[in-house]
Amino acid sequence: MRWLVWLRSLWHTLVRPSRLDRDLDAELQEYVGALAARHVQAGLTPAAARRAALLECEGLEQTKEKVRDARIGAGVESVLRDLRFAARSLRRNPGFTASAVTILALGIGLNVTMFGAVHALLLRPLPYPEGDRLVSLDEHAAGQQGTMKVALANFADWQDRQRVFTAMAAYQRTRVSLSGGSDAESVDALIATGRLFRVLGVHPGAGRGFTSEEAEAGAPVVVLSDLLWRRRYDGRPMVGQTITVNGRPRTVVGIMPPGFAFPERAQIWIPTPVSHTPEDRAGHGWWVVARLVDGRTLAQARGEMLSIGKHLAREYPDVNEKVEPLLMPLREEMVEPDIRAGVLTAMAAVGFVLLIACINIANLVLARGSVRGREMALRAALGAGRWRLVRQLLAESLVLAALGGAGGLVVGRLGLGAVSAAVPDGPMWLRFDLDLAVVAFAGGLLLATALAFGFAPALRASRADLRGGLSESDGRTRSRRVGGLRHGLIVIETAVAMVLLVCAGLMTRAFLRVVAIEPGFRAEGVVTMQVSPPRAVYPTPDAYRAFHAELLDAVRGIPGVLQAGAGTWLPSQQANWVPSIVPEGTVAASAKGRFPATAVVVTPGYFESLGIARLRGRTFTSRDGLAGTPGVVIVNRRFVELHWPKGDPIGRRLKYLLARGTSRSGSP
Amino acid sequence: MTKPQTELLKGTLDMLILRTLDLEPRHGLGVADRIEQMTQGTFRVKPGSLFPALHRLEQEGFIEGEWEKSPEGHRGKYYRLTAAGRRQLADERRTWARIVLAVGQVLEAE
Repeated sequence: MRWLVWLRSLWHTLVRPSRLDRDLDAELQEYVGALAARHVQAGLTPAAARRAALLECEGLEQTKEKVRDARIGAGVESVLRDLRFAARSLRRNPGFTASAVTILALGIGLNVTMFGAVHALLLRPLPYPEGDRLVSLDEHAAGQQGTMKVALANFADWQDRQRVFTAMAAYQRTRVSLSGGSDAESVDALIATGRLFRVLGVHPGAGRGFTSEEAEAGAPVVVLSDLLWRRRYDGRPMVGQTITVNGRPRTVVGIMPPGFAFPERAQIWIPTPVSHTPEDRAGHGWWVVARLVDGRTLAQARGEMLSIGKHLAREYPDVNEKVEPLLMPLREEMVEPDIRAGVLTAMAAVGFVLLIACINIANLVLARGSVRGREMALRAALGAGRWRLVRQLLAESLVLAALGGAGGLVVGRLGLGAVSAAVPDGPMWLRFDLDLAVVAFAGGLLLATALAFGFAPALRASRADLRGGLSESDGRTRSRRVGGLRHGLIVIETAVAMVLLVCAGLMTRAFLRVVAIEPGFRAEGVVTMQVSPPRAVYPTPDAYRAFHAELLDAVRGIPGVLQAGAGTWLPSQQANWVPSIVPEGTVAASAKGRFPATAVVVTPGYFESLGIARLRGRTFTSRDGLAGTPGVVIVNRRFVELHWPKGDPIGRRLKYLLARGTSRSGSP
Repeated sequence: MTKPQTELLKGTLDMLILRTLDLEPRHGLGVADRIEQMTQGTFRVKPGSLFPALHRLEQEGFIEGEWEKSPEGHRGKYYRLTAAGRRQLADERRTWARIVLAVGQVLEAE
């Protein structure tokens, strides 16, 4: 029952305040009248009696204001009233309002954009069930910089020995060609060991994922993405059908649900067996993902994996010496540290921009505040308490900030659209959306900005002293005080702007330095493309080579083409295959020989096309690599400095650390 | 007003108002007069405290205001205790008695 009474009172306060006020007014008049009547009886004249009664009341308007404040729901009512009044007052000053809202919209919009990017890149959970329990594993050679991808045979042993992950999977990105039916096309693909879908915890929308047994047996099966299925196969029932992948038939066993992506844009998933061969222990080319057992932490997993790594280092000292596993949350692995640092820096920068915007608006509000001194004094005289005045001014700030925030959302939406457009080939899980978290961020931001630019001016302006404010006799001292605050704000603003400028200058210089670095190749006028001739169609190395020779001849025949070459790698790309290559005669255990050199395979014309300068010796010719000719390699300067710091590299021989073949070296 | 005026303890004004309305309805000035009379001039409630308290009590449903004419022909808003107000007064009396007892024990403890 109590709450019914309470609700009725709230209703009266909010909806019919004027009726309550009329009632209160009449009641107070009666009160004063009765009091005056008493004074008349005591012998005063009616006028003097009324005056005395009013004096005793210590201000009727103040009393009324106190009664209004005491009402149930008075807070809500007065806030609404403040907001209405604030809106009116802002409408009367369109110039001030427009500039403040524009500044705020830009400031908040920039921040919303950047936060949207940070949220999408770093914060939003990965789209896999309990994605925060997914761990990425690399390998790392103690004492050396950087990380290596994982050797498949090491992965095989990890998988057999560990007890901290429910499942592990190794994978490699690749491209495959689909043929048969409509036109042949090349699509992003993933080669993965059997437990990939168990690790990710995602079930296919139709059919099933491939199994470990299938992967180990080398069964010709494949899983398609929803996108590929709809686009290439028109959404026909495909489970159990056979398609041609890299010229070889494979049976579709499952189709992943819409929106599923792993790792970035793969359209097709192909199982591969794990391997224990020595080559697969020396070559580090595999990405590894694993799911933590419930209740285990990343630190526990790290401990167990390190101890397994120590065992493997003892068991295979020639390739695993000092090599240890490196674990990190998959979420972190998916965004490169450079990008992470970049977006966080940008976020800080736009935060400073918003701070400057706030200070600018605070200055505008302050300037207005000194004009409004009279208004404030009048309000104080009419019974408004100081807190009431602060609230009134803060309400104006809030209305301004709300308008700015709304504008900021529009700007942020445009900004995120631009960011999306700038990253057309991002991974499927990366969506720059204006989602609930971003909107909530904008809301928090506008409250914070309202306080930031509104509070100090409100406190200042509300310090109205009745006589001085009304007569404006001490206008000079007032303006000096306000001036002090404004000068302080300008000092802060200049300081922040300086910080921003210096940062921007440093970043520009760093960028210019990157641009100025001699990359060793000329990118101007170079066009690249990817080809993946299926092994099934070109089974022998000779057929493979013949295909490329034919292709390159055809390309060279195109008018305007100066040079053409092919290779397994382009400069600035990450190389997949990192075998251990050392000079012939190097003792296996010597630390110097443990430097993992990256090897790529290239055709004649590769260096010429990329404009890579030759220091000594010769580049490849069409006779190199033919059956029966001695194997040749070209090494870079770094390799020479490392292995033959004094000698002549030309004519020296290299060997794979494990395998048999040796090669004669060309030149860097 | 011969006696020195004393500040009302926080929260006691509500109780005093309810108590003055216990016997008969009164208007605002009547409530103030009655409190002054009962405390022999110790408390003179000013309108700045009286009316906010009256209106809050009315909104909480402890008292009801009604525009009437007094026997002397005075028009005024007369407040009357409701059933809820009576219960509230009883509650506050008990609480007050406990406070007085407890504070007294503290002050008189050796």
